[in-house]
Amino acid sequence: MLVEEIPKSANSNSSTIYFSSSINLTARSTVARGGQGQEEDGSGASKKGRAKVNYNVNSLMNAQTQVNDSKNTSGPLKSAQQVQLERIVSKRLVELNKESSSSTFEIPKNFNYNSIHFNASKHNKKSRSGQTPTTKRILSARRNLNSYFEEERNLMSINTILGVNYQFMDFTEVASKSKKPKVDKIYRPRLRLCCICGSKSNYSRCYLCGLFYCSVQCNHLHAESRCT
Amino acid sequence: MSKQYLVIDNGSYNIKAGFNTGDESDIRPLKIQNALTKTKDGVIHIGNQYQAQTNNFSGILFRRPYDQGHLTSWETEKPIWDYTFDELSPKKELDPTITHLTLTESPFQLPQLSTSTDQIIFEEYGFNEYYRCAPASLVPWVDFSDDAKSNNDFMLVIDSGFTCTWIIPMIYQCIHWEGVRKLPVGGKVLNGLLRELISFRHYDITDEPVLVNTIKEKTCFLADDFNKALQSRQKLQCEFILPDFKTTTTGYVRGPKDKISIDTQLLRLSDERFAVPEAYYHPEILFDNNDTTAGSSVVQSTPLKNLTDLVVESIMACPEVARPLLSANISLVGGSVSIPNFRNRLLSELTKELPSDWFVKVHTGTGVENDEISWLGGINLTNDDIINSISISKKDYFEHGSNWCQKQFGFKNL
Repeated sequence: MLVEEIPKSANSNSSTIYFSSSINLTARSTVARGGQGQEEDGSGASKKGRAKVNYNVNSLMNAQTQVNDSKNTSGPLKSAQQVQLERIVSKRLVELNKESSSSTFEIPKNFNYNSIHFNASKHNKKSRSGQTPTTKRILSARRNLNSYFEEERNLMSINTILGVNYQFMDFTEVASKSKKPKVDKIYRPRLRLCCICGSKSNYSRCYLCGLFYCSVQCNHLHAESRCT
Repeated sequence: MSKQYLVIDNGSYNIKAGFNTGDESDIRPLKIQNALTKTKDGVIHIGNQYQAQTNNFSGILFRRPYDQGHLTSWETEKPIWDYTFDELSPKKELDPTITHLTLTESPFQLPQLSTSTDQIIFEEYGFNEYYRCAPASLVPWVDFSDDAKSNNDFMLVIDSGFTCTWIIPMIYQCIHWEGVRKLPVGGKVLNGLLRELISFRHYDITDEPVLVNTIKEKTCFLADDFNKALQSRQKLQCEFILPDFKTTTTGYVRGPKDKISIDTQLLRLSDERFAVPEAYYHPEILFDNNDTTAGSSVVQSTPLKNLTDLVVESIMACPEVARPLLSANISLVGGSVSIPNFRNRLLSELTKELPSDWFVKVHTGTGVENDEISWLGGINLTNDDIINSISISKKDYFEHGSNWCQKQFGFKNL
């Protein structure tokens, strides 16, 4: 996995850095280092005939961080169960965080805020687009959070940031469920509330959808209205 | 022209902004909603504009620069900031070249996005000096002292805002990153839960985010004892008069003597009032009310940690000598802390969990609103000399670049 050929479309995918080493079979090692894929092609052509190994720096780094982490947690990073759990939970949280049923609106292209001190002669229509190339890029990015996460190089940071999101769930318990249950930490019982009237319902639960109900009436109502 | 200090607490719900005027008494920040809004008629409003220009908030759409606590959309944030600066100094244009800016951003911000912020600050606005930090790290600069000497070296800050709740131990005014914990319960999640409950039981209010927020602010509270409250929920019932756009545009809680006409629409809220904020202590409430998460055995079998567990965990992640000091100095900040009874409930829950020979003290702001505490801390910080040694000037930035900037202000990887 670590060693891979530079794909033909290397130029378009500039976020991936390749590190290539020319293995000199006659033991006279010269290391050629190319930055982006484009330069790589040039240096490869000049040393034709030599075996060349290309390392994908991203995946190298990935492997590096995973090795570091596994020392701490002594095991694979995440179990399939944990990944599934994180997906369900974050989906539900996004749903709760939505403020209205329809999604948010896009800012129209011609939308602009003019300062009350706006002076047409001094500022020449630059207020929206940005003063320098960098800020121009930031102000016209229109990207969502995921694309920023994909672009982030430092995987340690991502692990930290994403780890923080799921701190409120206890994975150690899930992981060790198959073994004997731990006794050092006692958890309070979950609060079970009837999905119809909001009273306590500790024992009864719909066998179809898993929602809780407290009485026969509520169950009937539930079956008519909410049960899928 | 002399140097002026500007402090901006860039929260996901409200921007709190204001100059350090040097006047100690009665300083209040300007509060601007951190959102662009689009009303039904298709007009886009910035910040607080929508409140004045329309009184029918039905079907209003919000566009916030924050996405899951990360400041992703500067194209949204820039007009709001421009608007804020105009509101701040209506007479004279703000001159960034003589301004020192103290800005907050949520902890564990994606480094790339923090860098974008730095670039906008220096390259787009051209502020002369700049300091960026998490809102919680400004809190030790606020005097919570009801007693003579307050302990600002060891402080546990619980910052419950609109997006989520952060638990942040501050040791010698620095964030102890190993102890930082996050609970994804905040004002927005509570709004979502309340919306689901009311829409199922009473009227469909899915397209009324402003109304939901008003109902939450006016009726919700944390119960001292949830089970007892549930048993006596008839007594705790209240009636919320829905807006009819003749007598009221926001809606209000019916007082004991208020007369209402026959056609008034109202909500009778009982257990919704305390079951929604109970999500702080029973996060499973968020998941049990939904088919997919309630039916999933993985979610059901995973123990969830509540606010108390995370506070205890956070304290235990700190050096051993600091632990009792932290528990004796817990400060509550942020807008969601204003839910009635938040402090008392947390105090009683924590006393049960922490060792019995530790003092547990929970402070809230006195004489200052909860969501303004961090901002006030920022103002106090700019009064101190230390601000000069931690700030970055425009010259430094252009010499060292934005990555260096991030190295100065960024968080520590765990």
